[in-house]
Order: sequence, then structure tokens, then C-alpha cells
Amino acid sequence: MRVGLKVNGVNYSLDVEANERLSDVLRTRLGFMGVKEGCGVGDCGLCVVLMDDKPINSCLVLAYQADGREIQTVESLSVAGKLHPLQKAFIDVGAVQCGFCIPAALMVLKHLLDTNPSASSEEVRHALRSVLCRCGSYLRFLEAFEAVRKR
Amino acid sequence: MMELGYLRLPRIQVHVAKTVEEALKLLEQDGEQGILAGGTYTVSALAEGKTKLRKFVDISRIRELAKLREENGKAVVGALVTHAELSKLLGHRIPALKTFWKTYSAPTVANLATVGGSVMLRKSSEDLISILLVLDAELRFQTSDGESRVKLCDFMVEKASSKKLLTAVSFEQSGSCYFEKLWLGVSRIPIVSVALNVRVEQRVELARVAVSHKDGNIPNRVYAVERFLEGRVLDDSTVEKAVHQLSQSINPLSDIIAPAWYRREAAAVLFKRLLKQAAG
Amino acid sequence: MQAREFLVVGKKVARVDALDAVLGKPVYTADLIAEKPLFVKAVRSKLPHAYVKGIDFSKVEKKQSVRKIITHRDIPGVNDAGSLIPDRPLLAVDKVRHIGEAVALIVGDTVEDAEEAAELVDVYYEPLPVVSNPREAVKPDAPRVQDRDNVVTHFKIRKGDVEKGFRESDTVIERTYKTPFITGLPLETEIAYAYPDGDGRITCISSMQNLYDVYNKVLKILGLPAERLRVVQAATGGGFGPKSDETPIDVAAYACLATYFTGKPALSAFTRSEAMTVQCKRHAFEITNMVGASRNGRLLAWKSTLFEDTGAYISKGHLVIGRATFHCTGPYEVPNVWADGFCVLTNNTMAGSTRGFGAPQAHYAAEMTMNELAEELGLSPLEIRELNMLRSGSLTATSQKIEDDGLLQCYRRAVESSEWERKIRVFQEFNKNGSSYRKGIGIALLYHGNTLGPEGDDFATVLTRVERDGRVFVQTGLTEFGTGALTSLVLVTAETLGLPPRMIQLERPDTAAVPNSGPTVASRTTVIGGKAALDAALKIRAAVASVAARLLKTDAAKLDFREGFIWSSSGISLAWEEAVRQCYEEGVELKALGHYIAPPTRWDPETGQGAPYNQYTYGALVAEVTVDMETGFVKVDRMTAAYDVGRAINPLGLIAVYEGGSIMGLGYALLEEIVHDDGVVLNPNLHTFIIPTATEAPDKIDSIIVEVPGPMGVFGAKAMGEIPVVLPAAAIAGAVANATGVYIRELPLRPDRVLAALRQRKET
Repeated sequence: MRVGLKVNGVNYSLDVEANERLSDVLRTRLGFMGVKEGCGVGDCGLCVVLMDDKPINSCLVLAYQADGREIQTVESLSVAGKLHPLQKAFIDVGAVQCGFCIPAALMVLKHLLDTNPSASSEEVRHALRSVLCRCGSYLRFLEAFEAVRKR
Repeated sequence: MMELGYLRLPRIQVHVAKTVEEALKLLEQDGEQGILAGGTYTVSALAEGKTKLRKFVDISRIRELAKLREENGKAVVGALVTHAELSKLLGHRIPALKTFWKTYSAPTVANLATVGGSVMLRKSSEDLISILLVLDAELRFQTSDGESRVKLCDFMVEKASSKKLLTAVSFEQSGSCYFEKLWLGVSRIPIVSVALNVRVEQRVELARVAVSHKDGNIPNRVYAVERFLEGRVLDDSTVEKAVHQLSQSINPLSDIIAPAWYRREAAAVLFKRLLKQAAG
Repeated sequence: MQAREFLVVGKKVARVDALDAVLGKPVYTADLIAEKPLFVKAVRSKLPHAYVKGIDFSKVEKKQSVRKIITHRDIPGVNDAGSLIPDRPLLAVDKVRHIGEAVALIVGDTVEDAEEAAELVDVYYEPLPVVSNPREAVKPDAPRVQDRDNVVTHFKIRKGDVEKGFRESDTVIERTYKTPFITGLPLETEIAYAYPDGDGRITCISSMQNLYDVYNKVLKILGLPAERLRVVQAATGGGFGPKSDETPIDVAAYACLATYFTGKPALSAFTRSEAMTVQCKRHAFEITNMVGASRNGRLLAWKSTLFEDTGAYISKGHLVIGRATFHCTGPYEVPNVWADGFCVLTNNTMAGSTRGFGAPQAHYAAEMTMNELAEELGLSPLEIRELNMLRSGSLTATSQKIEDDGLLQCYRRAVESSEWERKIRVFQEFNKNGSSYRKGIGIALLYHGNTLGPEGDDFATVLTRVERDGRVFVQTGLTEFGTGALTSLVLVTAETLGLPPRMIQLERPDTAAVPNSGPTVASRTTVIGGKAALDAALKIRAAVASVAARLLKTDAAKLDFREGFIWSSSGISLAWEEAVRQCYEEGVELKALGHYIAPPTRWDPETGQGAPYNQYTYGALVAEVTVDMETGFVKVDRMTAAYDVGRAINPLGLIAVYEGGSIMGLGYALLEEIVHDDGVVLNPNLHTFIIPTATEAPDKIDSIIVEVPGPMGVFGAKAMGEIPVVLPAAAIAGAVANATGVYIRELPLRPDRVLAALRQRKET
């Protein structure tokens, strides 16, 4: 099946099998390794990307279903070598531990920052519920979000 | 795909339908097909080896099914409207939908999961079903013989049929519809949830109560409690009796998330809190 | 080296790998697959205990897409994947002993091919009776899990005269506590990518904690000479114990076997439910404590019986029982101790190395015992602890003398910072308000023997070299998987050489480049690895100093390395890069292998008396909870964590470890349990095994760093990586008891368990 999708501002056109998921295509066909595989069933959120400006689990979307959509992955956050404020905040507050959930956490918080910068602590936690972090960096993420939205 | 599989989905065949008619025709041709909408259930079921289906009719591109409109004061929600869209659009009008969003286990899944997909699953994991039940929801199906309508509460006990396609759900937009849920972590399997829709003047004019685990792990309305409440003054004594009646009228199952006795007790507690909320 | 204030150590620095993580750089194993690989899928048993009568491959043998089928007969070397004790075959021979045990491997062209084929393999089993808990397994007529007694180890402590102690006690209580299996659950599952690297060598890139464990075992399994295998650790998405245990050996062996037989690149990766079924679990414990005290609260006698369920294979069970038994009295001085710790085989899935290594279980039981004892005596949880906690001069349960007051400092800081006394009053008032909520506060203390102690040779190596342009490269067999400990090695090196940390780079752990550095476990990377890094850095420094001294016309001993320069005592400086260039000119080698081995520890196995550890980390954790009395839901509002880290090499990194461990421990306290039903794992996925999300994290975690330098670690550092996960269950259960009056003696404190306990209390 033929699919045309825009990823991080660039248009791609490719043939996909029916059973290829958006996460498979982003990772193995287009090389966006920030998209991780953690469970394949929508529990862990490590595969979260923005699709048409909404955070979704890319392991639950079949690649051909993303035809005509705009996808943003963590690779789009830094522009011309300059880090997105959230990326810088993550480093500054010590939010990175094993790193495996970081791309997903960044995309969820980027979306929140863009759509609801005055989100309450409860709303930030709610948004972060989509991403499991076994290292337990949730309070670091909250602190990073706080730091960025204050500016 | 073995029960222990996830890295790639098993090989499948998909036909993408552009219209409802096309979808029905495709479904007619082969009874061994599943329907793909948001994919949140189907894709994860394929990954977990929970389904042996390998052929699907994809309806996610049928744009008319993604619309939401009003008809005689009722909301008519297309089957493809997502959980997130529904709560965003109607959450300010129907408190239960606001709580539904707040208690959603993983909000990113809500951006994909559809109203229709939820309804068709008929399982306790679908918070929306309890809410729709108390809003007197009616389902609109399209078949090769035309449109057929079924009340959601009747559909819950109907036999499954692959020959009809759910196109929309209509329901009352009640401002006194409330929802409470107990759940753990990010699990999509709730401990228990309760939905309540009441209209109270001096007495209870209308009472609709639904529990996620009314029978086993199937949600439904608790008619005995509704009948009890209607016509009564909503005072402490009524509340106490209604709560007790509810715990006697449901038959939840035990699973790895919670034992049956706990679901029963917790449903009663949630119901009591909802009644207090409704009484003001 | 002159003593001076630290310039880099103890300062706020970014982790060296944080930038790669926020950029989503492709550094994990799955990101590094260069060519389309074959895929290796294990055929796993669906029964927990059975003879394997035969395997029928007829449906898959002729498939084009199946390149190789591997059974135990095909293993070229030794069919052994046990990490320390050779009790576990890589592929089952005549028997399977737990659900999901691997009986064969299918090598297919793609993931789908391998999985479809694995599904079509028919294995014929003769079921055997299942022994599902230690109480059953120790009975004389219990089914034998292996060809040995089900009781693998009996750990003993015999200190003083415990019977006399009980006789002299005014109060004696006996309580039994249970803790469940859980999985450490690294979010990156087991994965290995192997390929022939053109020189007749197989290279395996994989996700792991213990580089040389994987290398040594795979070498033996494949029967290869040392130079024909190379193992490289890629970035690893979480360790927590399972990645240091036996399943990383399995997955690497699977991939390497496929490459061995086909000559092609091969990938093997576990699915989430596969990983959660077979990766090692935290040992389930049943601990009975009988404790006697005088009327004023002084402990006189302590008797512990610990039953540890190690599942079907031993893995580290024989060591975990040791740590749990050594720490069974908690950090308190008791003159008379009798403890029996039993490591027992059952047909549950294998338990092994998991964060805490027996300490979380032992401390939950010990701290709850102290709380229950306090209540019996009419004392507060603080009073009983103040009376008995280990202080300078105290003797532990093994009669080891404590040399410092780190525990007291942690205790005081935690009590003060949490405003314990004020909270007690505030909560008492709150609890009278007639709502369905009750608030409570609890405290728990720990001491944690560093580092491997009796668990193995505690050594480390670090290879450091300086390039011509002055950049320093540090490489070691110790691995990074989230702890941030390798950043500590960078800081130690930077401090010693007087350089900013950005001039120090880490290289991947690679068996082709570095010698064995021991396992990356037991929170020893900073403590022991840091000493090796210090050793290497000092050697480099000495080499550079010999040249710089001559250039600066002074003695090498008088040089000060700081801020990228080398200073003579008269104030003349030489840039580091300049000194390095000069070294290269003169042929002075700037490459050093640092090494450190901790003093061996000794104790008497018959009495458990001696000094099993070289130093102790101390800690105090206060937890505040709100309990919904109608639903049994427990919310942790706040945690105050004070740990004596010896020396905080990387304070910012420590905050993440404090908070992360606290949240993980919260999960163990309230949510997590791997449920076996007659050996079958019922919840091997993330919607039925519940871990904390952002919603469960407390409102606040107050992280208090206490520094009482220890004798062993680099710059006085103490083990920290595991520590914060040890106490949350104890402190939270104590807080719930304070809120509700009910002691819940089984983890996790799930809402239904709490509600049932509350109901029971009402009835009695």
C-alpha cells in the first residue's frame, strides 16, 4: 500500500505492508530512532509522536493509516543545533536517567506547552500518564515543565 | 503470532473503505473480517495474539462518520469521533465527560480510540459505555437493508453481528450526568466505574445508573436502583438504601486487577459519592 | 595529590549522556542494526513443570524462511546459561522447570517468519506436579525442582543467646510478613544483535549491565576461543537487576548462535510479555520476626526466619538470602540474634538480581516489626528507633562494629525536615474531622552493606588515555543504564586531572578494548569503579606531571592541576594541552589501566559473625499518606529521604536517583505484584502489572544528602544506586498503620488488601 506522509516537515512517499505500524515505518524505514518500542499495545507510551498536532501511540497506528498526516518526532525539537527549551530544561534539572522514555516525555510536554502552557500540576501529571518512566523521573519532568513555562 | 509476541504484527490483509456502502459490501463478501477504526483495540489485540482475524475492513477514512452534530437537542456523535474529541466538545456540557477525560488511563490513547470502537467492544474497560447508557444512548447501524436503530441498553445483551456497521450514537446532553472511576496506574482495565444521570426537582424525576461491571465484566444499567430512586426525595435515607441496593444488584467478576467483592463495595462507594454530588 | 576543595566533584553538572537522550540519538541496540538481520525466536514452554518427551519440527523444517532450528543438541559448547551457578540450561534438555522456559530456537528471515514458525512447533510434554511456594517446597515429599534439595542455601546468624534474651524480655512479639514477586521492569526489553565482523569474529551488540558475564557465558555456550567473540554494550534502557542477570545472557546467546550457524547478522529481542515472564524477579519472601524487648524499649532478642522463593533456578538467590539475613534486624543493635535464611526452589519463574537484593524485603519486615513492638510498649515509632539505632561503637547483627554516626544524622535530618512532630499533631486533628480520609506519617531506617561484600570479588578496572589534542577518553567494562554512575567516573577523572568535565569522554564498554571490570551491580560503580578511575587518572597525572615539572622547573609533587592548567607553586602555569603535546613529543605514554579491589570481607558461615561488608550506607525515609477509608486507596503525599552517601560526587544525579528509587519503591509498596497461579504468570504485561505513573508520584520528595565519608569508596563515597528503593514499602506501610491503626503485613498495599484489613479490624 502506498502512503505519503510528512515527518518533521519533510514529505515522504513509500510502499508499506498492511502490518507495518507507524512506529515501524518511522524507526526502521525513515530512521527516526527516537521512537521506541516498549510494549506494542499502547500501555507504555514510549512510541508517542505528534500526529496532526496530537500526541498518539504510533504503535497503534498502522502505517498506511498515516497517509496524508503530519508527524512530528523528537528529532524535530532542536532547530539548527539549538535545543528546544524543554530539551535544555531536561538536561538542567537532571531528568535524564536511562533515556528510554525521554523522546516520548518530551513530545507529550511539548504538546502541552503549545496547547496549554498554564496547565495545572494535575494536568501536567495527567498528560504524563501516557508515558511510563521506570527510572521515576516524573518529578524531574514536572520541574522541567515549570521552568520552561515560566519564561 | 504467539501469545508472547509484539515486535511486529502478524501479516494481515486490509481493504480501505471510502464509504459506508463500500464497507458493507466488503463485510458482506467475507464473514471472517474485522473492522478497523481507531485501531487501539484491534492493533493491540493482534500484537498480543488475542485475535485470530487476519482480514480487516478499514473504515477510518469515512469522513462522515467523524462528525458530531445536534438533533432535537440530542448529540449525534459519529462512530469515528475520538474519545478526546468527545470530551473536549461536550465535556463542558456533560460533567461525566469531563471526568471521563480526567480519569482516562493514558490520554494519548484517547486521541485514537473511537466512540464506535468502544461501544462495539461491550466491555467494562470502556468507560464511555456506562456514560452513554445513562444518557439513554441510541445506536444507529447501517445494514444492506438500510438504517436500523437500537437502544444501547438493548444492544448490550444482543448477539454480535458482522453484517451491520455502527455509524453514530445519539444521546441526551444532560448537565446532571456524573461519572466516577477507580483504577490503578496506566491500566486500561478499571477496578470499577459508575455513571449517574439524575433529574431532581422536589423528587427524583429521572434516574439512570450504570456500572462497568454490572454482570461479570459487561457494563449495563442497574434498573432496580433506577426504579427505586424514581419518585423519591433524595435524602440521606434514600441515598443509603439506594447504595445498598446497588451493591446487591451487581455481579462483578474477579480478575487480576481486583476481586469481585471489592468491585462490589467500591461501586457502592462511588455511587454514594455521585448521589451526594447530584444532591448538591 | 594536594588536599584541596573539590572543583568538579560535588558540583552541579549535566550527565554526560543527557544530550544524546534529549536529541533521541540512535544509541540503543535496536537503533544500531546495520543490515537486515535474521530473527531468532525462542519456543517456550506453556507448562511450569514437565518432562519434554519430544519436539516435532515437521511443520517448519521445510519452510524457506526458516534458516536454522536449534535445540540443546545443537549447542556447540556448553548448554549452560546460569550466571554464577551452572544450574540452568540455555535450552531445556529433558525437563522444563518454569513457565516460558526455552526449549528450542527458530531462526527466521524476518520477525514474522520466526514467530509464525515458532507457533507451529509442537512440543510434547508429560506434566509434573507443580510446587508453587517455599512452604510446600521444603516438605520432604515435595516434588524436586532440580536434581538437588529444594533448599539450596541455609544462611545463619547466631549471636549471643537468643533464648536468654527472650526470657529477660518484658515484651515478646512475633509477626510474619510477606512480600511478592515483582519484576524490576527495565523499559527496554532484552535485545541482542550479532554479526560476523569479517575477521572470523562474532560481534554482539546488546543491552546489559554486566559486560563480561555476557561475554564469558556466550563464549562457553558457543565453545569459541576468546578472540572470536566481541561484546559491546549499547545504551541500555534501564537495568534494575534483570539486565545484570541471566536473560541478557540468553538473548545474546540466541543471536550469536544464529550468526554462528548461518554466518549472517541476527537479531533476537524479547516481547514485553516474554520479558516479563522469564526475566528474573525480585525474590518473594516470607519473613517471621520474633522480637523481645525490655519495658523501656531496648531490644534484647531477635529471631528471624526467612523463606526466599528463588523460583526454578538459583541465579543470585543464594546471595540475596545472605544480604536479607544479614540485614534482618534492620539497623538496630540487638545483643542476641538468631536468624535462619532459606533459599528455596519452586516452579515459579526464576528470581534473581533485582534492585535492593533482599534489602527491601528485610527492611519492610524489620521496620514493621519495630512499629508493632513500639505500639505494644506504648512507645512512638521515633522513640523505639532512637533507643536502638546503630551508632558509632554499636555492634550489628554480625557483631561488626559501626564506626560512624551516619544513621543518626540521616534520622535527625529526616525527622526535622519532614516536621514529624508537627505533622503528627496536624494529622491527629485532621483525622477527627469525620471525613472518609485519614492521614498518617511513617518512618523507616536502613543500613546497607557496601558493595558486593560476600557476593563476589569486588574489583574494577578503568582504562584512561589522553589524545594528542588533550581530550581524555575513559573506557571501562562497567556500564551505564540510567544510574548516572559513569558520569561520576568522568567527574573523578576531571577532578584529578584538573580539567572541565566536557574534556572527558566515555567510550562504550567493549570486550575488545577493556578487561573485565566486574559486574555493574550492588551500587558499586561510583564506589569501586571510582577508585579504579582515580587510579588511572593518578597514573596519567603522574606521567603528565613528570614532564610538566621539568617545564615549570619545580617538583612534580608541588604541582596543582586545576581548571585546565598545571600550576607551579610560584604561580607559573602551563596549559594542559601544551603539557600533553610535550608528552607526545617525548614519547611519554598517556594511557593507564586503573585498578582497584576492595578488601575481602570475612565472616563465619556457621554463626554469621564477622564483617561481611567494608562500609555501610545509611538512610532514613519519612512517608506521609492519605488513606481513603471507604475504598482503601492510599495516596503518598510526601516523602522525605535522607541518605548518607559518603561523598556526593554528582549531586544533581543523586536527586534523580533519590526520586526515582522512591517512586519505584512506592510501586513495590502499593501496586506491584507478579502473580503466579500454580507456576503460571498471570500478568506479564503493563496493563496487569501496575507500575507508578506520573499521577502516583508524590506531591513532593525532599531529597536530603548527608555526607559522612566512608573508608572504602572514592573520595569517601558510599553505594547509592539501589538505596532509595529499600525503604518506601516500610515507611508507607508504617504511615498507613499510623493513619488507620492497622498493620498490613503483606505487600503490595493494594486498595482491596487495605480495605479488607480495615474491615477485619472493625470486626475484631
